[in-house]
Amino acid sequence: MNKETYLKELRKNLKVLDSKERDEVIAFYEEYFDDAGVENEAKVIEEFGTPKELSKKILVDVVNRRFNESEGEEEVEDKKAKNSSIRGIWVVLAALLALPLSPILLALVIVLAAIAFAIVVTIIAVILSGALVVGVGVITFGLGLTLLLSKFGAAITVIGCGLICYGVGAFLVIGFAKLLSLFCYAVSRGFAALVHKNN
Amino acid sequence: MIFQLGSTLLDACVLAVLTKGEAYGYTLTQQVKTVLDISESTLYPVLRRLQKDGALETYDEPFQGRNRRYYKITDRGRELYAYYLSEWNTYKASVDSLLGGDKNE
Repeated sequence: MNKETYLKELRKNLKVLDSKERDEVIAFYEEYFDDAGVENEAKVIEEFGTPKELSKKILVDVVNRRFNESEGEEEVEDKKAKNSSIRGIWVVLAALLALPLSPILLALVIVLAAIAFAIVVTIIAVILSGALVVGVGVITFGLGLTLLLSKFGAAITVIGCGLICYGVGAFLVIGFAKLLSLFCYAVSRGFAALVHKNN
Repeated sequence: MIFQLGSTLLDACVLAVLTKGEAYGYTLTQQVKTVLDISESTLYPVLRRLQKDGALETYDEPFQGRNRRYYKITDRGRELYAYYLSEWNTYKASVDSLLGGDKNE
């Protein structure tokens, strides 16, 4: 293995990180390789361990850093944003699975992850149905407008129904999107606490 | 070294090296390695953490057609270093008194 294949392999193992974070990691190790010199390539690789081993250490550290609260205000915001996405859960989960866990804990993590996954899918389904209801509301509202001149009473009823659909749909989309980000944050935090404890 | 190296002590060592002047990743690692038995892969997380905490800054400088990232200690980093140093001295003194070793004093 040489520097190029090593870094390529490392990048592949860090797929869960967002591209900015990943680029920074790769840049650091690439620079290290360059400064060590081509003649020391094999030695550097030996000290880094396999790309998989190195990526595990990096992931665990990323999660640990996000977990620790000792950061400035903007950093906390940034970290919150990172944790309250579905990607946030992936990163934490990847870090957790990188640690040597007891079989019981591992089983527990897998079960919890499966439950979290089911909940996420459910919330997304509700959001999608909400969007659909919004669509129906808009169409119904439009339909009501076309009736306005010919059948006023019916038109008002239809417009009303459209508005209700729109309102209910919007509530579902916005409310459950918020719920999703809250849920992702809570799950990330929970798993991150496990990572923190186990390394 | 047979004693375990905690992450705080590693932070302190990196800060100590940087108080003597800025350095880039490779030299920094080599310098820390002359004293501590750490692997190369350990230092990146440390540098990231210290940077996030505002204890050090980075800047890039072109070198032989590529960028080299330099690390420089900040005022906050110096404060942190002073704090670690005093904590370390207290800790060292109490361990020494228990182990009965005062040869290093």
